[in-house]
Parts: sequence; structure tokens; C-alpha cells
Amino acid sequence: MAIEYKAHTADVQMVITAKSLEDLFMLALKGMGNIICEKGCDTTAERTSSETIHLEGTDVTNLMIDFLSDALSLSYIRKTLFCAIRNIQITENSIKCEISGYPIQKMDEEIKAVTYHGARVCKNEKDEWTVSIIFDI
Amino acid sequence: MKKVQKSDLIRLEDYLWEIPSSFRPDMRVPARVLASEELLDDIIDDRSLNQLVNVATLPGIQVASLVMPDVHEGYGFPIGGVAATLYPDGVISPGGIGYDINCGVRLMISALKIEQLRNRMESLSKEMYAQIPSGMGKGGFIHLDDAQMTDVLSNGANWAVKNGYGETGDLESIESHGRLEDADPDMVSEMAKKRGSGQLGTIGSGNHFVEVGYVDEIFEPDIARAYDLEKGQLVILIHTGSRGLGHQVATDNIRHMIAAMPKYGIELPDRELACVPFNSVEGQNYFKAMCAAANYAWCNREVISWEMRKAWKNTFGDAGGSLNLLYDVAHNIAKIEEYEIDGRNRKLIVHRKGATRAFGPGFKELPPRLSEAGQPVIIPGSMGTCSYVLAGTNISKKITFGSCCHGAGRRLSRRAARRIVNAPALKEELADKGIFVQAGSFKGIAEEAPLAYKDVNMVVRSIQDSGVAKIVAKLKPVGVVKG
Repeated sequence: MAIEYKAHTADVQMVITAKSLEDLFMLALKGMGNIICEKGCDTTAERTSSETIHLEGTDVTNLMIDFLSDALSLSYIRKTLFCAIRNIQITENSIKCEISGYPIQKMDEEIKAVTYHGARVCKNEKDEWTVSIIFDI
Repeated sequence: MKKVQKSDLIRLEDYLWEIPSSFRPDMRVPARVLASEELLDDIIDDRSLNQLVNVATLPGIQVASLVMPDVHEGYGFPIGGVAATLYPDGVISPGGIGYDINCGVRLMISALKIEQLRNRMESLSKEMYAQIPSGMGKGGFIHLDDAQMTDVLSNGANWAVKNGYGETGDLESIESHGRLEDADPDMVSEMAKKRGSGQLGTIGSGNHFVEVGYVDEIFEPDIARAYDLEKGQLVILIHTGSRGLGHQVATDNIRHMIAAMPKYGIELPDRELACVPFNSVEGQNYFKAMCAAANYAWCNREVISWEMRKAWKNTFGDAGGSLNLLYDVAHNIAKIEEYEIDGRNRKLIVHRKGATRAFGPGFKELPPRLSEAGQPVIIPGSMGTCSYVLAGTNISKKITFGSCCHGAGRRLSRRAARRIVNAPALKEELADKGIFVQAGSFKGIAEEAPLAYKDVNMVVRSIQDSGVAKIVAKLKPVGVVKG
């Protein structure tokens, strides 16, 4: 399981690999959180806030981008850093879960959007799930 | 897909290059690059021209997909791109406008000269930092209730003027007079409205800023006179957009369009190019929401000008005189405009993503004082270098759908810039050159370091040599406030 950040002109690219689809979504949320607040999702801060996300999509890649977009929007509105997922139910075209996090006063990075550009949720040669996501900063 | 090589381009004119539509079978039109050969060599390095080729596949696209000399790789459309599709059934694509709808710049001009600033830049920039909220997720002084939000989304900069946050005289000097009449607040989601409710009058982060500078050099004295620009004059440059509201409008609508595309039989090489026919329900919903977000952005820049005027007054008192708006222009927007195509006048949906409208003399929307000179085009350079004021020409309508560049153009990623740049040292180096930087973080300074950008001098020279705009004045910075 890994979160890797790569350089991309004007933006940030994040590559995630995980053993299961559930873990892939969980790591992607954590990886995005660590961009919004550096190492913000590596802390043991009590996750006092939670929100439910329920989405349907044409495929699992769209689900991933839409899931992160909703979590990002909720972060701005609730002034909360979401780091973890609970009660996840996921299929190829739907996801229902609870995201949890903690209130924050400031952000290190203002992500404008989670983009679909070049994103594809798939399995790699090691049979792990992987996705590359570009954030518009 | 094969990467575009220099050998794939044909030179049409000194500053115009073309990738023929035979390059890839799915291209509907050629792809064109406006740039000097030197800049082209740089442009070829990233994948921006492959992205330009993808844009040439959009249904209804006319003549050619285009990029300006400040182009760089984006996430779908290249940044610095122009795409015109046929009205009313050609497509509209939120990706061709960008997430920061109506990101743009305005230039305010003062009656003071650089000599009169003396050693007051530090106190002015501290005053600006206090008056103009900047930085990550920072809220503003105004909190809009539902009725006020509807008013802002419908009336743009007019709302600020009507409510004491702007000046009536500014309105004629804003692109579209600061209001797009097709805006429909009901097409903006509740999530977007919530994100925008507390952000009016804020700069945000990234490459957004408020800069104090002075006119260093005049190149076109007659036009400069019409623009009220004089050598040594202090000026204010404001660069920001529609904040979280615009980001959410784009996010919402790209998602809707991806779901709707199969219904219209649209297949694209990149989901981020998502588009639907302009006259479809989804196309109209987006266009009306985009116009509303554009209105929010114009209102935002008007409120920031009001904050800037307060900072100016608090620093200089009555001796500072007034700050007048030269012009405010968008560089992330879609507009319905008319062009002659194959001898016929056609209405087009002109997408500009990181490209500035650059209409020439006689353009009816311009106030009388600017009409003969042509539309002012404001081109911010990188932090600590220089910026330019250009004047649009009527050639732009023939070559670039009335567009030109929007800045210097990024060449290094933010991450790469952070790795290379020692931000505290850069801040001191700029201070030694007489440029005072007030920023929320050293990270932000490193990311916007001059070496992360192309040479803006080369970019505007390319524009001038192509004929689409004339260089009127060069501006040098003395103080920058950024997020």
C-alpha cells in the first residue's frame, strides 16, 4: 500500500496502490488530506466529524474522482480534514461510506479540483489496485 | 499516443505553426501554435501540444484549436488554449474554461509616481495584507445570505457598486461591464453557493496576488495616453477568480457532462474534455452557471479593489489620490462572439482557458476613451520580474479568435520549484531589488519563483510580432501580497 506524489506542471499528481478497492479509496482520501494539510492525516487527532457519501457512477474511475471531489467540497464547507473511511460498501458503479476527520483552522494547500485527466482505476502487474490522480492547484 | 514532435509542425507564418488534421484520424480541424521558434522549442518539451490535438477532436470545433505562446501542459485542455465551436449546436466544455471560472486580471492606475512611494512600500503592503484576505481557504469580510448571493450571481460587479463596495465608474472598464446577462443563479448548486458565501473579496492562493508596481517603459505613447499611463506611475495589478464557487460549478458540471455524453454520441480521448452540445439541457445549464460564476469573479475583483483603495487611503491619506480602473479582463471563460468563417458571419462559442480577449480599435463594448486605442490586455509576469499592458488589434480576430496570451506560462511544477528554490533567500533577494513580498507561506513564494516561469518578455514579444496585440507599457513590481 503506497501513496506517492509526483510533479506535474502547475498541479500535483498522486499515485496510489493498494491491495483492495476499499483500501485504494481509503488511501486516496488520506493522500488528498495530506496535500490539504501537510501530514494532517498522519496524526492521531480524534476524528470527531463525519459525513456520509453515497455515489453512483458509470465506472469505478469516475466513482473515485467523484468521491474525492465530494470529500474535498465537504472539507471546505465543514472546515474539516477528512482522513478515514468507515462502513464502506463499494461495487464497480456505486459507493456508500462514512468519511471521518477533524476540524482544521487553516490549510497548507488549496486544491481547486480533483481532475479526471489520465485517471484510471485498474490492477497492476502485482495484482494490486492502482490509480493516478491529478489535482488542480 | 505518439508525442507531437517539432517535425510534425508546419510553419504557416513567422509566428504561427500548424499540426495538420492528418496528424491523427480523430482530429476535426488542425491545431495551431502562436509562438516564436525559440518558445516553440520549449513548448515541445511537455505534452501540451498532444492536449491541443485532443482539443481539435471536439464536435463542432471551427478552423483550428489554438494555443498562445505561454502555453503549458494542463489536465485535459492545455493552459493557454483557445477553442471556438459553432453556435448553437457545437459543444461547450467546462474543461475549456477551467475550474477557476473567470480567473482574470485588472489594472488600477494611481496619480502617484514611484518617487512618491519612497520607503512606504512595507507599510503599504502590511496595510494591503490586513485589508485583503489572502491564503488557503481564507474567508472574507462579507458573508452573503441567499438573497445577496442570488444578486451577486445575477449582477456581478454591479452588486459591489450598488452595495458600497465599488465605484460606478469602474463598470464601463470591465469586460462585459462586469456582468453576463445569461447568468442563472438557480443553475449554481447549493454546495457551490455555500463555498462562495464567505469568500467575496478574497484572493485565495496559488498564483493569485495583488501587486503594486510602476510603469517602467512606454512603447506606444499614443495608446498609453489613451490608457492614462505615464512613465513612473504607480499601478495596482489584481489577479484572482471565482474562488470555491467557480471550482464547484466546474466540478458539478464536468460530472454531469461525463454522464450525459453517451446520450449525444460523444466519445473523447480524455474525460477532462467532457462536453455536450451548447443547446442541450446540460449545455445550457452549465453555460448559465458559468455566467453566474463569472459574475461572482467580477464582483470579487471589484470588492478587492475596494479593499485596495482602503489600504491606499490608510497609507497615503488624501495625498494618495484615487485609484482608477484601467481595465479588467477574464482569461478563463467562454463567450458567444461573431467571426467571419469562409466568408460568412458565424456565431461561435469561444472557449479561452488561460487566454485573454484582445479586441482591436472600434470594439463597441469599450468606453469612448479606449475605443480608438483598442482593448487593454493585461499580462502579469512572474513574481519579481515584470508585467505588461498590451492593446488588442483587429488582426487578433483573424488569427486567434480575438485572443492572446494570459501570462508568462509555467515551466516548472510547483513541487520542482519548491525543491530548487530557497524561499527565504529569494524573499531577501527580491527585497534587495526593491520588491517587497508579503506572503502567507515560504512555500507559496518558492512555488511562484521567477525560475518556475517562462520569460514573459519573450512571450509578449511573440504576441506583438504575430500582430494580435501591441506592447503598450512594461510594469515593474515593488510589492506583492499573495496567499
